[in-house]
Amino acid sequence: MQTVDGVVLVDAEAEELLGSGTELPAVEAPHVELPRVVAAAQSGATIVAVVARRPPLAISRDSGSTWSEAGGGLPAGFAVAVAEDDPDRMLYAARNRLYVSANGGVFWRALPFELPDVLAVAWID
Amino acid sequence: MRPLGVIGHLSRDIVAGGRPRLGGAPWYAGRALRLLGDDAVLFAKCGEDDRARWQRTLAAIGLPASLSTGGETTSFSFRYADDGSREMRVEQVGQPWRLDEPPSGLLRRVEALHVAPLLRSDFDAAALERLGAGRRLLLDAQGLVRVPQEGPLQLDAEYDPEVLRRVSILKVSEEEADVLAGGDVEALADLGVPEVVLTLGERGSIVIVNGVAETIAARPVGPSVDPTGAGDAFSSAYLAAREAGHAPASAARRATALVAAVLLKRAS
Repeated sequence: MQTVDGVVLVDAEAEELLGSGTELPAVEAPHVELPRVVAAAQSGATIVAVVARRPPLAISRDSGSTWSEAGGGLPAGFAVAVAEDDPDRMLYAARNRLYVSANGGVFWRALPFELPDVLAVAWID
Repeated sequence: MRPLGVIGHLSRDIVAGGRPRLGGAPWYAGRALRLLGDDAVLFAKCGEDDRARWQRTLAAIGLPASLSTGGETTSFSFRYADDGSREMRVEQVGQPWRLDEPPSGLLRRVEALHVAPLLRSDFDAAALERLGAGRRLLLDAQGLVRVPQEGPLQLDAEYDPEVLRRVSILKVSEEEADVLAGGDVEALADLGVPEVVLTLGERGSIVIVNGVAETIAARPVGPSVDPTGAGDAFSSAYLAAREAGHAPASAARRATALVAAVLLKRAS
């Protein structure tokens, strides 16, 4: 993830900080026709948008034609990523915490460490 | 703010053939709440034969206590094998809480209630409906899985789902989570309780609220510390923190700190 103090590598499965990185992979953010969008990510037809309201996530499974709310238990978000090979795997960044979902945003696991303010996240497989 | 309440049976615990000792949440959680300095009321139940002795013991905690009696006192025995494993037996099953226990006048005083069954028969759905009217309930999942039958303690998930209707917070141990959800944290979220706290002993706890699971680290207390009653202390401290306005994860951190303090005080 990109933080205000540089790139930090995290093992989301083992819930471990791996150390510093150099740069995040370049990922093009999708265009999202929703109000108050903070960040968005796409994998195939799945688009996930962080929005500045409660709940803080909107998820589309049809390339943005229809949306559903998600993440009711999550704090306000700043960045999001969806795994390229599995659109059910999502990363969500609050100001200084990271959350992982393996089931399309239904259930989230908070990683047990606090980070410098997060600016962007991406999956590296 | 009205005080917190703790309700459950007292138990007679016989460890490795030794002298019976007092157990049960009103005893363990009561002492923890006293340490916290929280305003709390204890509601306990035991057999008639133990009333006089245990009423004095409860009173010594220094919190207001109401002791109901009926039937026999719930009794457990514990034996430890050479490999360190523990066998727990139910020696006697206590009488369930009746619908008129504790008296309504006393119950009205409490704003939130830690319900701590020793066995599944202790509180039925009607009893929990009454206890939960107008207040937040934390239920210990022992009351879902522990079979009320004399002999080796058996666990299963054959509980009445109606008992969870009034429950705001479910506190689950690792062993109970295995029975209720095959150990799957996500499946615990599907039990229908808004807030689930899974305690993992020295590995901390996981708070599951609104589809988000957050792990809280434990505070190390050393291997020689007897953890008996730690779960009860955790539950009451968690509920007290929630009532004081703490968010779930923050409440779990406070409860973790209290449990560590209780265990270390006991060891010193």
